Amino acid sequence: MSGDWTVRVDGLWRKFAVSANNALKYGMIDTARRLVGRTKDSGHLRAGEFWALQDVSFELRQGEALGIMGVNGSGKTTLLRILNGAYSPDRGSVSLRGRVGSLIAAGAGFSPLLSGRENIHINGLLLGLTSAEIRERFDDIVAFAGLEEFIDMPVRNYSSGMTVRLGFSIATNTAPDVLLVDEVLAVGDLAFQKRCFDRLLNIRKEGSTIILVSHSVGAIWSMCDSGLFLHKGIPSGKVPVEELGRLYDLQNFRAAVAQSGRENAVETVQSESDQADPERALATLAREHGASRSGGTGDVLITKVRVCDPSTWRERPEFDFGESIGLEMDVYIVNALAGVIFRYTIDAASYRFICNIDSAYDDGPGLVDLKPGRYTVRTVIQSPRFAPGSFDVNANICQKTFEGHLYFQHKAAPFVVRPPGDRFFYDLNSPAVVHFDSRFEVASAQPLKQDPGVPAPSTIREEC
Amino acid sequence: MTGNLERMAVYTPDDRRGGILRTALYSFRETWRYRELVWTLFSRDFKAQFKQSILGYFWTVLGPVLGVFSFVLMNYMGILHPGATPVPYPLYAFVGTSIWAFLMSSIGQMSTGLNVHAELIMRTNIPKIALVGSALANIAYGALVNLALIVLFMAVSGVPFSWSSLAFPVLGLPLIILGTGIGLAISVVGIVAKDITRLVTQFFTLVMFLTPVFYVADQIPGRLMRRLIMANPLTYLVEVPREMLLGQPVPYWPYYLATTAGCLLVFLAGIKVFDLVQDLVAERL
Repeated sequence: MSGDWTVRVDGLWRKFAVSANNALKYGMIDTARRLVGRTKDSGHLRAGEFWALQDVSFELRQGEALGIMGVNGSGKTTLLRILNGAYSPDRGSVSLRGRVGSLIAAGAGFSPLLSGRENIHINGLLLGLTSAEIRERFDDIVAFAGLEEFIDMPVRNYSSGMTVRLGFSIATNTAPDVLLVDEVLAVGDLAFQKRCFDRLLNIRKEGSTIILVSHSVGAIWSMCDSGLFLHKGIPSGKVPVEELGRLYDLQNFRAAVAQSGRENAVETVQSESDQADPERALATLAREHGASRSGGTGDVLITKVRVCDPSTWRERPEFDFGESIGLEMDVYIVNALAGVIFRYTIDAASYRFICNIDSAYDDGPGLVDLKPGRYTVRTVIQSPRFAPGSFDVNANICQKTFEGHLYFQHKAAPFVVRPPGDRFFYDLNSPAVVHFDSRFEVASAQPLKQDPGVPAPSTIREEC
Repeated sequence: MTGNLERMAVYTPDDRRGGILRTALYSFRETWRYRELVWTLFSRDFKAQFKQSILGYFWTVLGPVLGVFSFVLMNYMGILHPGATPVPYPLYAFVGTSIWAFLMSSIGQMSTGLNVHAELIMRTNIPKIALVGSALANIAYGALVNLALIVLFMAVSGVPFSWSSLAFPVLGLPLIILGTGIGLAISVVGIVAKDITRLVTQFFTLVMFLTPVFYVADQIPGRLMRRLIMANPLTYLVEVPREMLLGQPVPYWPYYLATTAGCLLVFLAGIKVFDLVQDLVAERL
């Protein structure tokens, strides 16, 4: 299991040019430098270049598995390609011991016109095996892929699932010392996915070092103990896999909020300029009614919704899991209203209206009567159990005597619930958006086979 | 696991293998180490190529024959005056273009070697020199087809073989070595700037007219042109093998040997250039 290091990445930097023109220019300069015996110009950034990887360092031993996560464009693929020897570093070094197998795209190098049998041979050679070694493993490879009947059929006629199964089977049956895997686990049917995980865990147990790149926290969590999070090429350093999931999810939530912010930007600016002139705002409102995220009868306007710290009432974008959240809305009452209800609903990333926060039912003023003028309404959501993720606030104003909304503003303000540091949500990538603390009891009521060696049915209690 | 952790790959910003001879030695070793793969890739492409064409293997034969057809046609139309050839003109021109094809196909196969295997470069860690080296199999195959056709045509035209004919395949090697060296260099430089490949190919198409491929050198009337042709080292690489094949007197041995030495130098330089630039190309494939 343990022993010497098998993968060592030491102060690795890598840069790229943004535009094709610059890439051509710098490529020619570097080529010329090389031809006259100098090194490539890699110590610093030239105009139009960016660092795809900045100072990445880690070391892995036999039997260790490292998960690499990051949003698109964070440098994962670049790192994997450097580990695989396709790209060269600009600074630092990468060393790998033993035979390196890569599962960077299952089925890479398959020739569609040749049969599965011929392709196994070619792919085995590409992974560094000899013909004899391939013959030895041939039956296992075919059996694992479940392709006994189709092994002499051209790969062109395989389904995509069959191709991927064959690719995976070859790569993992060749017993590499280091295996690089890029996002190929989410393939095939569930039964095959399960077998893939078992197989990877197995070769890991036998001493292979595995580097797994994935967008699935679950896949990484089940396979790896440690992880590396990349954000714009800047690495987190080697962290426990739970921390990796937390960093990755937080980054995704922030990205979702930023996206939602961009989409609502136009409307916000408009409502700010409209604040000074309610007449114009009402005209705008009438124009956009129905089509946009806001609308109403014209009796009342919500001019601003803010997500705030519940004690200082300053705007705040992020909250810890379970922390109270403050909501503030600025309201402009145009015509006097009786029996007003303020109501928020919350949207999660993939669900709408997951809960109500309502002044008529909650710990608020109940129905209120309001004269024309400007008002600010403050609400505190007490210790909510939103699962870590990104959310949007919808704000409504209703009236007891009117069935519809007097005014609504959907996606008025986003916020993020951070993944907690003290516990790990195993279902971070499950679609659930609300968390309830609960207690489990597992009691075996009737053992299948009464064995004198087995004690009486026991009860496991667990608080979580 | 293989348990063989001694094998180690280290990647640093400027991997160098030292001097020109060490680089060449390394390149040969890597290509030899992956000889099985080189052979398999060749036979894979070979099979794949012909599984989808009706004429199949016939195409490799048809290419060289069609290549010489235009010269023969021009000759019969009276446009082309190649001079008095020692053997029937179609055979003379066919031998010439076949020898020239050694050079051109070596350049062509080698220079596209990295592009052809772009996918494997990104997704496997086979050394790039070994992948490019697999083009050698294609070059050898093309040369063998040409040899077979030459033998066939000589037999058909009743031109006698002599003992010296046997030296022909060996004497054609310098052109292949030269083409391989040039091809290796432009296979990497040509990926950084694609113009290079075109420039070199066009250049050699022009040089062919200054080389007695499809005419007889000393029967060119213009003195200046004749001098240019004689100053062109490639002239000897084409003339000597052809003279030996057809059992003609060979006046140019010293030039031939000197040019061969030059070819070897170009070859080593090509390997060196490839090694110097190879790690800059993956991102541009």
